[in-house]
Amino acid sequence: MVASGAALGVGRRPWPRVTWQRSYTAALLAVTLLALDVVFSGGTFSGIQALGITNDALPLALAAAGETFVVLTNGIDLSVGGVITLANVLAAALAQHGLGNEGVVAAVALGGFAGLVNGLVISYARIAPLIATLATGSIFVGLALVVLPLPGGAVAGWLPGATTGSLGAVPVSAVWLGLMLVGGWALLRRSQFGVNVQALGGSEPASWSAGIKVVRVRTAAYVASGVCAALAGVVLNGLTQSGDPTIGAPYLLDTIAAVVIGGTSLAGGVGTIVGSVLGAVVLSLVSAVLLVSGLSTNLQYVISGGIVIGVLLVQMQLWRLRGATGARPRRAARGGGGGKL
Amino acid sequence: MSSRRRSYVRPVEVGTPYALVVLALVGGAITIPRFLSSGHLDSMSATAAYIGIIAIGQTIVLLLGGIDLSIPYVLNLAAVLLTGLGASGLSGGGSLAVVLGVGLGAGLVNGLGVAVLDVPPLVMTLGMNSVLQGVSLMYTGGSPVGTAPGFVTTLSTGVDGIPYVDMLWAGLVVAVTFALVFTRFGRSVYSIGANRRASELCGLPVRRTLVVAYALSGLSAALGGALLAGYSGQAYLGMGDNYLLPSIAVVVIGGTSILGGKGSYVQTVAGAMLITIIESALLTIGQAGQDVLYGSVILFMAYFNQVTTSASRQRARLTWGEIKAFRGWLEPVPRPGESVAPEREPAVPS
Repeated sequence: MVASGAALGVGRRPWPRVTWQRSYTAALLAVTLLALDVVFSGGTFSGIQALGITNDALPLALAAAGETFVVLTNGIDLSVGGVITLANVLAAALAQHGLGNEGVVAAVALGGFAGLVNGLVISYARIAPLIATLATGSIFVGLALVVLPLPGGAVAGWLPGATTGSLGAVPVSAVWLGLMLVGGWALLRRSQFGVNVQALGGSEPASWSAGIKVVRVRTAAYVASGVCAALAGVVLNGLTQSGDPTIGAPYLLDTIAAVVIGGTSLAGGVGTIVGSVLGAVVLSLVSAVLLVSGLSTNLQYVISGGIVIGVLLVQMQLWRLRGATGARPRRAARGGGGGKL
Repeated sequence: MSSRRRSYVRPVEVGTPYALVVLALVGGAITIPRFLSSGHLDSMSATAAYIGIIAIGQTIVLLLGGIDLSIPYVLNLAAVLLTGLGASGLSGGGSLAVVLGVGLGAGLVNGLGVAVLDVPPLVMTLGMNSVLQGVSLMYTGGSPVGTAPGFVTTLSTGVDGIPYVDMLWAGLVVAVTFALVFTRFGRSVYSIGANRRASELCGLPVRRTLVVAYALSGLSAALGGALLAGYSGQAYLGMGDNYLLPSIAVVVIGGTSILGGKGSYVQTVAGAMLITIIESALLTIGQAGQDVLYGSVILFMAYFNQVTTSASRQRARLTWGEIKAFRGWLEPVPRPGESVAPEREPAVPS
């Protein structure tokens, strides 16, 4: 696969040589929205604006990147909101007791453990991922309320700088986003784990026959999702410099929106982390553009919802136009029940 | 069609959640004084009625193998519209009609997106939820105004101890069960949920059924929103967020498979009762305990139902299959070796 980031601004190639990748839609949307942002703010684009957008996008991008692993295995993780909240309050609460570094480590470890629980429940109790993660997510939120009943807490001294600071003119969060683009691409396309995850989503029986340790790969995907969500919670701790037991709630649906905008198929097997990260950027650009344009920021929800559905429709049309080459039969891909997802 | 109607519903699966309801009631009565007093029963049945009514649509949609994530803001928009329209001079009946119409319309759009455009239900309803959230915010400007019409409040809270909302719920239970069991629509729902492709090849109206199901889901969420606004007299933003998880939870707790094709609304009713009783018995546990409780109950019941419907299916059939009282609409009683619903991979999507 060509690095999807190529669409971001590298010189345009002649059409016949570019194969349309699923993440290009998100890249195109991001560039368009960025252009709109510049136009509305009167032709300028300040460092403050960039900082706002990338800071807003970073936690969502992290959570969406983790969710991508799970969606690629044809599962879904609705506990990300709960994990984000739990990690956020744990880091904040421990930092308040002077255990800043330990708090960050504990939060990330807890995220991994939460993912492990999800993976094992889904693999061994054979509960549908949607139900299992919805339930565990509810439990995580409850535990977060025990850790920190009201917003408060503190933050490790170095964390705000590492998440919201600037390296010269470049926001640190933009650097993280860039690293995620490269790392996400490498992990999915250049590692055995990434290939296994996609194979599992493509066809579980086939993966099993091919000798892939199905349970291990699936569990690892949920662990990855848990760790990423916990990192998002830690980043939010750095951004807000406190903890909030309700902070994760919007991320439950936003991560899925980012994954869908990024072009990952909910039927599993097809998709990119690059796309999901770009999807998160698109979602934060929407609110940024509305803010500078002076339109009602309430429109943000309408537009985000429209973009999610619109992108999916566009992807499906492209899929259809490409015909059967390399494509799985649409009905079969979505399961006999008309699509669980 | 054969002379004997086949059903996807098994007596044991309907009986289990009700048995647990009885168990929970007995447990509550033993541990908590005045748990079975009429006042407490009334308040519990009203709580169960709201969530039960909201879950009507979710049950049908899940039976189809879909999901409706737009319930929070269909519900919320319905509530703020009901109070807001009254404040801008519309009559109570008029605003209720508009509210139900809006819910139906939102569900219709969901259904058209899923059935005609083939958008996955998760994405379609997620997007719709976001759109309606924006609409609610713009309509209210952030702070909802007005109060619910008097008759909706009466319907919701009851008068002189007459629990109208329970009567409404009872009526809806009968109507929905009738629709699912005896009508062409209901039979199509089960058939499509079990195997969409086969239903298409059999000539069932797959797309129309999907559209109707999502429209009903919008309608029931809007009705729930109106009733909740009537209950508290006012509407507030975010009131729907607390109903997404319960709307799915009560369906799952009742034993309906989220993969579609297996379950019934009668089971959802038991699920709504069960979660209400447990919640009310543990009232002192606070929000944190409630979240943990919901999650644990869902996990436990999902596992329980998973085990009872797969491993011990054969034994369950032998034990319950011959009970004549359950014949009729509950009729499964397949001959040995004959499978009622097409076997599906239980939890692992392939």
